[in-house]
Order: sequence, then C-alpha cells, then structure tokens
Amino acid sequence: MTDASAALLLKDVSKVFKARKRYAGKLFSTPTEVVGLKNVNLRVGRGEVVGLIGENGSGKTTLLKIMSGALTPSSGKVMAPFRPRLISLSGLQLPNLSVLENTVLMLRAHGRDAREANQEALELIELAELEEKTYLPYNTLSTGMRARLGFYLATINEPEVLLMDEMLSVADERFTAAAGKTLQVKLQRAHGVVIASHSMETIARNCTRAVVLNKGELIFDGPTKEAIDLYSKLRPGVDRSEGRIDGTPPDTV
Amino acid sequence: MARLKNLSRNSPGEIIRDIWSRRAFLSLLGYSRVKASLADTNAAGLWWLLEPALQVAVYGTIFGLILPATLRPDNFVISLIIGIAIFQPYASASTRGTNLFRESRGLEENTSISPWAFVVSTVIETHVKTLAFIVIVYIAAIVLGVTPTWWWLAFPLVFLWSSFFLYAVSLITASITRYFPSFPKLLGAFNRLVFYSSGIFWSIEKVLADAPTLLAIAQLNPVYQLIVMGRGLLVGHDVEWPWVVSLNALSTIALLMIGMFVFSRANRGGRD
Repeated sequence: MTDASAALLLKDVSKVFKARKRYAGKLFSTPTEVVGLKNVNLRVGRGEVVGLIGENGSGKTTLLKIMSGALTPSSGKVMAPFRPRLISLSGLQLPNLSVLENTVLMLRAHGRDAREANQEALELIELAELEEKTYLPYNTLSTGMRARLGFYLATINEPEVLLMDEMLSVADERFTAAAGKTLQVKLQRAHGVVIASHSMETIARNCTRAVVLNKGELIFDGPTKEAIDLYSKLRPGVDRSEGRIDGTPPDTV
Repeated sequence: MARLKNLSRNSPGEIIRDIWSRRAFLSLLGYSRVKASLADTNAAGLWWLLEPALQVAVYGTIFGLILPATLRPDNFVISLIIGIAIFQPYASASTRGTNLFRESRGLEENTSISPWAFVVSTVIETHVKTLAFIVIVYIAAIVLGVTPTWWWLAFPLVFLWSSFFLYAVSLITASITRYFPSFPKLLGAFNRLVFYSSGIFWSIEKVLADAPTLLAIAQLNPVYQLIVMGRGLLVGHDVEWPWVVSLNALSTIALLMIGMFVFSRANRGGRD
C-alpha cells in the first residue's frame, strides 16, 4: 500500500487549544493550553471503513474536524485527494426563519441552485416527516426533529471520504432504523469512511479496522476486534457482548 | 487516481476560488441573516427602514439643538444623515466580526466553507442592512431640498468601495477576539471614539483648524474619508478627490494586509 492510494492521510497531526482557567474567587483567568491531539498518524485506504474509538474527551471529534477542515491542525498535515465531508448534526441554523428557509439555505450551501434547493427542501422535509412544520420557525422543532432533518441534510451529497460523528444518538428508534439503511448506502458508495462512535456494535458491524484514541494519542491501529478488546481494558464498564457502554442506549445503526 | 493534496493549508488562490464559487450562497446567507434578525418583530420588513430612520432622527434632533452652528458641517442635516449612514456599516462589520469564529463553526463542519468566505457573507449582510440607510439618505436629500445631480447616482458606490475596508475590519476584530475574548467589551468604547471623531456631527476641519497635526491624524481615519466622499457626491462639498481616494485606498490596503495576517494566525490557532 502506498500513500498515493490513500483516501485520507494524516501525518504527525497535533492540535493544541488555547483556553483560560477560571478559579472560583479569583478575578482574572489564567491562560493555559489543552492538548487535543498529539502526533496522530493515520492512513485510511480506499474502500476502508475505519472505526474511531475513545472515551469522551479523547479527541475523536477534534480528529474528525481536522480531517474535514473545520479545524486547522497546530502541526502536521492532512492529505487527501478530495476534502472529506463530516456528517454531523450541527450546521447553520437561523432559528427565527422557517424550517423551509433553513433547509433551502443549507442546500444552497451544498451547491444547489435556487430552483433545485426549493424543490429538494420540500422533499427532505417530507422525508423527515416534518411537513406540518414546513413554514413554522425552525426553533419550534424538538431536538429529535432537528436530528431527523439534520441527518438528511448532512447526507444529501455523496462525498468521496465520509466522516461520521455519533450521528443518531438523539433520534427515536423508528427513525434510527430507517436512517440506518441510508447510511449503509452511503458507506458502500464512499471511497473511505471514518466512523466515531461509542457503540461497539456499530464499530464491529461496519468497520474493517479501528483505531483507539486515549487522551489525544492514537494508541492502537489494527483489527476491529482487537481495538474493541483494548478499549474495554481501558474502560472496564464496556459491555462488549452487547456493544454498549454503561449508561448508553444501544445503537441500532 | 487523484493526487493527494495537503488540506491543512489553503493557498490564497484556493481561498479566493472558494469564495468566488460560493458567491451566490454567501449573498443569500447575508440576506437571510438580516431577515432572521427582523423575523421576530411586528411588521418585520418595515423595521429594516424604521430602525435607521429613528437613529437618524434622534441624533439629528439632539446634535441639531446642542451643537453650535459654527462647528457644524455645511448642509448640516443631510451631512449628518450621510455620516450616520456611512458609519453604520463599519460598526456592523466590526461587531459581527467578534462572533465570526463561533458562528461559522457549524457551517464549516458540514460544508467546508472557510472562515474567509464567511467574512464575505458578513460584509454582504452589512450592505443589505445599509441599503435602508441609502434609501433614507435619498429621501432626506429630496425633502431637504438638496439639488439632485448626476453625482447622486455614484453615492451607493461609496458603500461598494468600502467593502474591502469592511472585510479588513471584520478580519481584525475576529482575530483580536480569538486571542482576547474581552475585546467585544472594549470595541463598543472604541467605536464610540470612531463615531465622534469621524466628522459626523461636527466639521473636523473647523474643530481642529488650530491643530494641524491632530487634523492630519484625524484625516487618516478611513470612516472619515468615506464620509467626505459621500458628502462630496451628494451634497457637493469640496473634496480633493485624488487625495481622499488615494488615502482611503492606502488605508484599506494596509488594514487588509494586517487583517489577513492576523486572521490566518487566528484561524490556524484553532477554536475551542
């Protein structure tokens, strides 16, 4: 395997955030640095689906954002033939505008022209079963409704390299099952995929390989089963047989 | 097979190409933000015009009553309105810049739109809001009996001309806020200083007639230069056009270079 055939290549990627410590009773905060990632090297080959495992705060989301270009690394390089697309549920939201206006805006952001965007927006709203909310302000949607709409918006294009960050944790079971089929199609069509998830079942079912992040460092890169085993040793509460971490509901994707 | 590209650094050419390719969306985004800011009000669209009209009325009344006539610019009322209209985009661009990194995050994640492009959308949003001021200026000029000339048609060009200046201002305020989160608290006071030292209410030339050094410093203010241009076109004030335009262009280029330098550092520094 050569670098030239990679779908995504990270070389010595580090990320340091500037932050400020605030102590109770003290007037001024003090500057500090938080290490998000430390010398991460990762190669995603064409056709690979790589799982990204780590506990909260290990750097999974930071890594995905750097891969997508939403964050710039403090050092190191991210190389890919095409810019990877991060599928997440955040996005532009103007809460005072209608659901339709917000959806059209996001579709325009994805390159649709005006006429296409309006038609497709109505179709997406229908797909997300939100027809009755079409002309109501976006801030009338519940978290789950936003997740449904956000999911379909996030998956409208077919990126060469797909990055997924805990997509469906807020959605209801019926939607999660339906969305799973859409995701499977996307996974098959993408040239490379990276999935971050707390669900070991999701990782085991979808990923040909997995990496484990711990405190910003990539400590394992190899077969999925071994990655899950290592992670369970780091986190004794992980239930490997059912693919759940204590307190986390099962993911049906 | 497509070659690997280094995605961690965007070249200036790539940034410009990205902005140009997204120009339709960036315009729509700017317009939508203005629409969203008015959506919760009664008669939303009317406030687009009413809010600037009220500002002009309040400032005009107060300063018209208290300011000695000897210190006022010629054609005081229309000059005042022009001054407020031209100051407003600067104030808007500087304030919006302070929220830039926070607001652009979600959009960047999903669409890979760079913060550089987002600043363009901020400038467009500022211009959409400013359109109301331009309308008010023209109405006021007619009502106040200012003689229309063909130069009136060039008046909106002052705002278009100011786009690069506004872009630079947004880059700078976004960058400063990234490293110094308290900056928005200071910006209000700084903008008040710019507001009162830009010749909106009083003639800088008359007030500083006996202090040529201070006058020269005051004339370096790009907002003042734009106001001079606006008044020259609409009211016929005497303007040394080559000097004012050249000075404004140089100021803008200097601010743009500073803005691009600090913004590229701030963008690379990362956000929490």
